[in-house]
Amino acid sequence: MQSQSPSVQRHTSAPAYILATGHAVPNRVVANADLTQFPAAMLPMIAVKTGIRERRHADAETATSDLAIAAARRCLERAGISASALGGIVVGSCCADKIIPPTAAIVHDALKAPTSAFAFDLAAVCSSALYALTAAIGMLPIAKGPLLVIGADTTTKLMNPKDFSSYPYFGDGAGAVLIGGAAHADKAWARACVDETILGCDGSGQHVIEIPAGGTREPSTTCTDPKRLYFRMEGKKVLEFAIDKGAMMIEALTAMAGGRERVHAAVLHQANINIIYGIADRSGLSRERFPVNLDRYGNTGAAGVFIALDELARGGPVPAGQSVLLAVFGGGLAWAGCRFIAPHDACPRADASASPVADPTTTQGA
Amino acid sequence: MQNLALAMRNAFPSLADDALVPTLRLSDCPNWDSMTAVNLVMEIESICGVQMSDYEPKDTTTLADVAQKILALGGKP
Repeated sequence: MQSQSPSVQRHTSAPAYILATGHAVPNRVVANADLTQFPAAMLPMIAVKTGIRERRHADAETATSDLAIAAARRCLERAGISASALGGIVVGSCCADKIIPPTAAIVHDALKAPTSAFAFDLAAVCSSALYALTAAIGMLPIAKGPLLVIGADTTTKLMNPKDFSSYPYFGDGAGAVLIGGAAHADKAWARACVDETILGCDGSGQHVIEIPAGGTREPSTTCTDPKRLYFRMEGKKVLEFAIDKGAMMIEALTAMAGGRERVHAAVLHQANINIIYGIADRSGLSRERFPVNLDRYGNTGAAGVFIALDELARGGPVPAGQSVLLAVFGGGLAWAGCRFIAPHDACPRADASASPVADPTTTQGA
Repeated sequence: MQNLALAMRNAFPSLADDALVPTLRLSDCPNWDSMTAVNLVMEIESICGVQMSDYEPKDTTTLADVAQKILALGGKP
């Protein structure tokens, strides 16, 4: 794989403001002990190797859009903003409901967003959410209203249930972030420092994480080996890549923040506890500053970073001037990072956190 | 070692056919680690007709070692 430095974009556009967050996960809890397709003697290895103790699996009737819609509704309710005011919807995902149309269009329809609101998907595997966020931030000046950015995946539907090297890692979920321009600054619980983002990709690692068949290169209709339709990854290479790029991003974002003492939290892609600890230890930030939800949800793909961000937001205010760093990495091999700043003693709107959104799906949120 | 070869190909799809020799060390298989080792054991159980869920092949284990283990358990490598 190539080892060139990533691009660091410094946008000159106006900052975006984080108006609210939300998340949704399926109700069905699958503990390690429930993975009975694997030898019982090997099951303890899952927690040791990954930190994952349980995950949520979407049922057969639940698609990615169902989780995305539930997360979006919670996010909008917390912001006190109607979907009719949206300027656009961007869904970061690699688990679209269908090949066509984009999942964002399905979310758009369910929310009854106005036709002036654009909607599209963005696929960068586990980096999708922050790629989508960066794209949305860049598009704010042309949007007719706040933008809903969603990271959502139901990766377990694309996995071989008998693959011990990947299946236990993953869970399903969705996270949402609502961003707005200066007109919404007074409603923001944190200002997004969007003039500093890190985006990168090393395409030479494209095969490290892949679903070989089912696309136009090898359509499912011509695939003779069903296993090629399943997700696969090379664990060791992923581990090395993730720690290397994750640590690089946290180091760069910490410098942008003005030093470690100005970092309130670093929210990483929730892939593996050993990756998170590896990055924490290399960054010099204490492990306590790295929120973890993979023990409960597993690797939820694009959703993980937004779910963790939402849980962080629910946990209390970010002190004035402190930064929240976000960094993700995954298939591609791609990575993305950005920094949020709390402009004041910001606190998420508490009005909706205690009352779950009525939703017809089988999902639940925090 | 047809059965074992099939199990190896299933567990390590990117393994080259000419790599399947008795002296092949499992640690030289692409994507070999403790998790894919479990996949290999499951494939062997399914294809070679043996119960070996307690078997933990090591980095230094060779294909010949695995074949011997299967034979010792009454299976067909």
